[in-house]
Amino acid sequence: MSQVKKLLKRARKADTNAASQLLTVYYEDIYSYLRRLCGSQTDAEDLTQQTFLKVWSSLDRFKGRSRFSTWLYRIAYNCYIDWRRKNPGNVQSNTDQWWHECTDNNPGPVEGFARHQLSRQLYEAVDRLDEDKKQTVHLHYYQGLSLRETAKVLGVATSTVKYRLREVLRILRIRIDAEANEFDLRQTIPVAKGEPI
Amino acid sequence: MNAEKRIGQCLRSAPKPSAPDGLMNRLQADVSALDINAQRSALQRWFAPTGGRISRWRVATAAAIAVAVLLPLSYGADKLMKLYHIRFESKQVSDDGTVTTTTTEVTVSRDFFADEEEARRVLQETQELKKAGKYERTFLKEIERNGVKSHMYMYRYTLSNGRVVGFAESERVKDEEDR
Repeated sequence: MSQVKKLLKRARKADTNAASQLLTVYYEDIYSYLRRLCGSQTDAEDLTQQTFLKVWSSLDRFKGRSRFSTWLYRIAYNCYIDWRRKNPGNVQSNTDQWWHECTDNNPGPVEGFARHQLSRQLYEAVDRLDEDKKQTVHLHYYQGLSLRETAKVLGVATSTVKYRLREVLRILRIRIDAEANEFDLRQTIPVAKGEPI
Repeated sequence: MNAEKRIGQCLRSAPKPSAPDGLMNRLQADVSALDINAQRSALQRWFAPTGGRISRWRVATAAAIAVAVLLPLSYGADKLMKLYHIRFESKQVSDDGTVTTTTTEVTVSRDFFADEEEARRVLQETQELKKAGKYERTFLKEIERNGVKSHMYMYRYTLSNGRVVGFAESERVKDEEDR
């Protein structure tokens, strides 16, 4: 039996130590998922807390048909959707901000600039996707869930996830290409005919 | 490299926002304060809500509810069950001297009779009146049970004391095959 399963078994019998250990394993992943989505640290903290409160209160209903982490993400996803529905005006995209905060701590070499630039454009573009596609990217790419796990969290078929990801890559490529062209144009210095440089 | 592959790689290596320092303590506090909903039956949850000792007042409440609910129910059931099951045996002697005994069981409500003896007497008399053809029969409806069709009739008998009693009886409809 895996370590998580053992912890789960103990947590189900109201062993708070086991519950704390489970928390240690998963809370950072859940927080980062929610932090990226809601764009505010305070909201992400509240949602993480809400998620785990729901987890503890419904632990006896977890039948083990999926991985514990998948079930956890599903609860976090539902918490986020509920929160979004209740606070439609509060949802703000601060990807840019957290991206800067994260990357500025590890400044890369000069040649990494282009990649850094591309990544920034990508994350911004992901935030502009519709909710279903955005969730698919967040769970599969950002959180590293498999296609099947992503499908389970979102309550859709694996083929739907595959389709959405294909669409996302196509959309992102178009957007990145468009932005790159715009960038190239901005770099071009207009030179008047016959004027010495 | 394929552009879409590169995009995929870029997305996979997205930086992870680190959790703030106080968050773990906040979540830990919830775990300590919470009574994790452990696997307990509904009865256990009711009688021992905290998971430890059985709550006395909850047992008392359950008993009070049981008395308050079950008593009227049982009284109602008793009233519903106030029926007399009366059994008759009638003997018929055929021409060759063979005696045929027919047993009839009738269930009647106690509301119409003072006691079982009166019910038996009335039913006995109605049997004799039926044999003598002294009754009024009214067709009520056709019923079908397990593929067998029957007709429901209301039989009215005028007893010797002038009292008129009526009983619903069903009779199987004879098919062409039976005939």
